[in-house]
Amino acid sequence: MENTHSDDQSKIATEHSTPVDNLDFNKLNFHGNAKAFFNIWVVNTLLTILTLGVYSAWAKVRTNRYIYSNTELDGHRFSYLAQPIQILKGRIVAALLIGLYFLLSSISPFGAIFLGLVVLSLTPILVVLGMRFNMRMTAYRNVRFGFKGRFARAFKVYALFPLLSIFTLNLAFPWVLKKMDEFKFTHITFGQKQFEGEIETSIYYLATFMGAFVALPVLVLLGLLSAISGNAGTSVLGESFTLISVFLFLLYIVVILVSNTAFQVVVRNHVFSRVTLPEVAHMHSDISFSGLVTLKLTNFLAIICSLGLAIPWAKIRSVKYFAEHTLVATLPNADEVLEQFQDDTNAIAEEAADLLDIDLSLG
Amino acid sequence: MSKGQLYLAGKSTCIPVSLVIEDGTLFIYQQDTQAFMSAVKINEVESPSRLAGVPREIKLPDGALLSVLEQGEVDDWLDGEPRHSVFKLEKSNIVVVLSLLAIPLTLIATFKYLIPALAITFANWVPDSAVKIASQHTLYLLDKSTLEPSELKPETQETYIAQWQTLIEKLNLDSTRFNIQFRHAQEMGPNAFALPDGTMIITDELVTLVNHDMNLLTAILLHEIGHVEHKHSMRLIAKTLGSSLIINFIFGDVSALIEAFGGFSSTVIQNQFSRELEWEADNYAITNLEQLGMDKENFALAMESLADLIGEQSGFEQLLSSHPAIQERIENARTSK
Repeated sequence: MENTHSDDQSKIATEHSTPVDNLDFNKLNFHGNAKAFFNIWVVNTLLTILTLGVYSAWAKVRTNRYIYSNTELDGHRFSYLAQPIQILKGRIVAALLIGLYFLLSSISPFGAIFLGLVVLSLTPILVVLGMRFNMRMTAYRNVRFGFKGRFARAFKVYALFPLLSIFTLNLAFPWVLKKMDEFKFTHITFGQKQFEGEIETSIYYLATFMGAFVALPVLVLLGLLSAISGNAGTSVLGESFTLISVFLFLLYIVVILVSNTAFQVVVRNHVFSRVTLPEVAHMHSDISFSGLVTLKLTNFLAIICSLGLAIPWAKIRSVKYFAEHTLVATLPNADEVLEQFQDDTNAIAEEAADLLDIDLSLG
Repeated sequence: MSKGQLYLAGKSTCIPVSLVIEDGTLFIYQQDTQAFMSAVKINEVESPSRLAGVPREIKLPDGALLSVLEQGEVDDWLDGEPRHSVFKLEKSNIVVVLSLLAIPLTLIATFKYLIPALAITFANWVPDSAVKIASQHTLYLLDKSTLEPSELKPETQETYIAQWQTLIEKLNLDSTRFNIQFRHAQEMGPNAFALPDGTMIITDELVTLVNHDMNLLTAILLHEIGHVEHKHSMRLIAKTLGSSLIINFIFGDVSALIEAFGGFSSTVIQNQFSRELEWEADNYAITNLEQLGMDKENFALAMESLADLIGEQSGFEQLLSSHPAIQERIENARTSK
């Protein structure tokens, strides 16, 4: 690996404005294995069903701890710090909100329109709270990550921009996606040090184009097939019609998967090369389209064919793949820089933030 | 003696350390110099529960973090007496194999018995005013979109409705609760449906389909009354919500791709519920036809006239359908009791 990446390394080094020579990139190592995780997953699933979902908070902590604590960089493991109770509280709130939304919208179709607007304006808040929780619950070398994104900015990026983008016939949407990523990545902190970086808008247009380009031939094929099946459907061939519709459904999922992957590969590799933790670390991502598509398709097939039993195996494979295609170079004086910034830690601000530390996701 | 890594508080520096446990106290020494660093008792530290193959993370009282990869004495020190723990369940292959058997069984029990039972409780708890609003808004939207005023003569409508009101009273039901209306519905075609507050809509197309046969229409109407009496709308809402939340809790952290399949399976589950409710309404209609002294064959005939419209369904289509196969419903009407 050291040799094969030397070209990339020199390229990365010259791309940055700060003159950094001989960056020594190390990949993340993942030490977990599917067998151990399978056992954890099986027990998690059973206990979650038996407790009608309550145990899912504990299950999430155990799953994340298994993944984080098995991820290693430069000989140090990451940590996942969330307490199950924090997650349980968040889930109760989320379940109540979802229940309320569902009930109100089934009671009145008009309420649904109004609630749609409420949800749209809640999205930015949920993004910020989610990022804040996930980052604050992540630590490396006993130093916590954090998130400093503000609600006002999130409101612009996640509610206002997408709304305005409609008026450009969504031609501006790749730019909106870039703004979203920029908001997420450049407000992450490690210790008291904040990530920075210029992300190029053109990459998002390229990625969108790639995604569409990959999907297009298959979509044409899909159109043809549904035309054929349309003919069959009107005749007495009821059975063949349904087989074709299952096939079309599967094909549709595969197209979305391939198209998303094309987008993801272009964007991730770019963002990782641009976003840095100044004076502390540089990152690099070298996922490949073929590698990621193969991974996702085999995972998908395995999960379906095993009736879900392959879920833990698929999860471990994915984590391993992403870890091993993520490289980080720690800069020479990183320790001192971090230490100097650590002293600024404001304990009271941390406490206040704790009150909002709930994870409002169901997943 | 174990080895570990010590991360001091407020710094990212890491010190390799040796650990010695004596009389329940953990002594920490610098690994290369063997210089003493600190000593802690078990009640002074915090550590998350044990997880297979993962280093133990021990938060020391001064905020430092001690990470120990080796299994053994440090685990014993942290966990104390051998207790029942999730770690033990996860480690036991017997537990895992039994869980694999128990998962499908508990899932079936939850979706087949528990959620329907909770849904009935929920349906009884929903206030009538909410049910009324839901029904009125739904009918308003349908009237604005697909339904047109009935083209049946007002006298015909009145005669039918008056006859049904008498029948409803014969069944000892509160006839003021049921509000029967006719609509012309080109798109929907022959159909009848009930709103949860007791409003029932019969399309002109259905009346034409059965050649104004009052007995057949009554059979269909009784099916709809069955839906209202058993509070099926509210039960369906509760079941949909309950099952989708549980599916989310169980499979929530799987990728979006699986969610597409999750959507598929929750459609299957929801249709399963919906078909059970249809059976309940069918049986309600059949029982009450007999109570009114009418032949239950009327229900079978009504279904047969609808069957010609639908045609045969394959097994897979059946899985995705919200109603039971019409042939089975006809069979059920003819063979019941």
